[in-house]
Amino acid sequence: MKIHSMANNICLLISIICLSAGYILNGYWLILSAFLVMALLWLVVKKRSILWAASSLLLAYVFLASMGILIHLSVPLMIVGCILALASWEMTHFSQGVLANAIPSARASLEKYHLQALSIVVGASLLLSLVGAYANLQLSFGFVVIIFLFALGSLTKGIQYFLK
Amino acid sequence: MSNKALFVVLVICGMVLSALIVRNGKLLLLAIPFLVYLMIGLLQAPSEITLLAHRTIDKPSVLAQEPTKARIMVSNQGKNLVNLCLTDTLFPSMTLLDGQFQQRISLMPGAATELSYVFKAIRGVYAWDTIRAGASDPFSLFELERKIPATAEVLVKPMPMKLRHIPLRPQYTLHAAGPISARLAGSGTDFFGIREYRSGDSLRRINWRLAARHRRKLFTNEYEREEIADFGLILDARKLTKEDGLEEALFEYSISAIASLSEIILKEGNRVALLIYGESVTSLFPGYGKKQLNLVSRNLARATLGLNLSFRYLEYFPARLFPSRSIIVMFSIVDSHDLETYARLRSFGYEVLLVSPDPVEYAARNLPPTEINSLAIRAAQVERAIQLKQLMRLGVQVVDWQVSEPFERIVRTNPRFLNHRRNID
Repeated sequence: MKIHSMANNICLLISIICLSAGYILNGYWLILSAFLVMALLWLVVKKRSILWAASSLLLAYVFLASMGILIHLSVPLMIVGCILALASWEMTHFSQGVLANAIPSARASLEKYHLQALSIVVGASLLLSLVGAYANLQLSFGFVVIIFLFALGSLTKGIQYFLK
Repeated sequence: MSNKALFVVLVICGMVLSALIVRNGKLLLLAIPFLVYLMIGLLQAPSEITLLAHRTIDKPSVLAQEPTKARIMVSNQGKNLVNLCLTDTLFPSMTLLDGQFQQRISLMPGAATELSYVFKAIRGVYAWDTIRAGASDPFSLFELERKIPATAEVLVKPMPMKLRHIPLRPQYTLHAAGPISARLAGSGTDFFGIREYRSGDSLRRINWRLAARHRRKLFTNEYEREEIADFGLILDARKLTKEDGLEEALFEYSISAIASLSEIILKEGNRVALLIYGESVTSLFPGYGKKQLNLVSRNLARATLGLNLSFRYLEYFPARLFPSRSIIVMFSIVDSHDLETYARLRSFGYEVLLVSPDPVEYAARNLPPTEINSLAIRAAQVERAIQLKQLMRLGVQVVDWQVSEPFERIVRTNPRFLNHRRNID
């Protein structure tokens, strides 16, 4: 529980720093007022449900990051911030939903599996996003069509599997 | 797919749409973490749940509101389940006292866990068939749900009222040794009378004092024979009015009283039959002993008030269920249409004792003391008194039970419970 809350706070802090750094370095000081609005949103929605509050904040964060990319701010900062915001959102959900119902003896193993999976998500996301941001691949139209069809097939199979 | 997964899918769709609208491919980069998150969840989602569950109840038969413990041992016979949620059914009429009926754990292959909780419940028979197991990925995005067989049953018997031995004196007894004085000479302990000596009489029973007064004559002491009796208990479970709360409360009092009475009667060695007459007819043929007591408790635990038009009137009541000359103890709030049935029962030769919980007195306690209410109560009391008088005229022994008084006091003080009449055949 302690590790989780510590990791959650660290992720949240780094994501805020990334977003604010991206904006402030380019002179958009107004981002600070956006953070103020987000803090108010958190306080208001938290009273109803902490999960809704976390989801609202994540949406606001994704919106700000998208705006940042559109106005040509640092893409890596936006991506890193977004990944850590997602991790923070997931950890909030986990501690409120899963850990709240778990018996004390089972918490450690649940936390272990969760943190393992989350670290894979963070690592893989960072790698893929940064590769995507910097790699400049020239693909033929036919190859793109094949990749698209493969992705479509996999998605359909995946959905069929879960509908079963 | 959980709400969380749906939310993530919506975020991804939103970002793809935004990228298409503004024609900026870099926006898609922000969708990658969400896609990876979804894919990792999908990859780690369990494909099958292979669990074995075994449920045990500490006391399979308890009294109402008595705590009992349920334990469910669940073992994993399949793959590793990193996020498993076990949920047992807690019936609405149960109260959880300790423990949890829901548990979230990680269960390795071959490992086992125990779900245990202490609960109390109101009267009834509670049966479980399965336990719900929901396994998902570590992020709870894709859940697989299965019902694992784990059967058990707990019988919550009605809370009996405190009742000691009742000196019942029925008119007719069965010719088997028991506790009830039969008002016939025999091998009992209570002095019954004296008769002239007959050859074969035990010398111990000769009344020497009387023999001394009569020359050349001997007299023998006679003792009262003690036998068992046949009892038929009838519980009226018809819903007669629209006052659900009142009828339910009085019904519970009746059930408790009948449970106590049957226990006392059976413990004394008598034979008891039971009939619950309501939405359906539940009958229990005459029987003795602990087995019969268990069956009576089970049927009483299941009894519910019911509204069934075909059983609206007692005239459809299967009167021949009870052996002839049984003592019928009936628990009923009297209805004006029931008189003929009581007359029929009397004509069959049954000795009928009606214990009628007083609905007027019970309702009066909960009504505000206004003038109109007091008049209404008075009118209802008069109507009830007339009904009971009519029944008494039919030869039915009526006990008007005001439930605020303990049932034991009613039993001990009411002469109708201690009937001393005897018809000479």
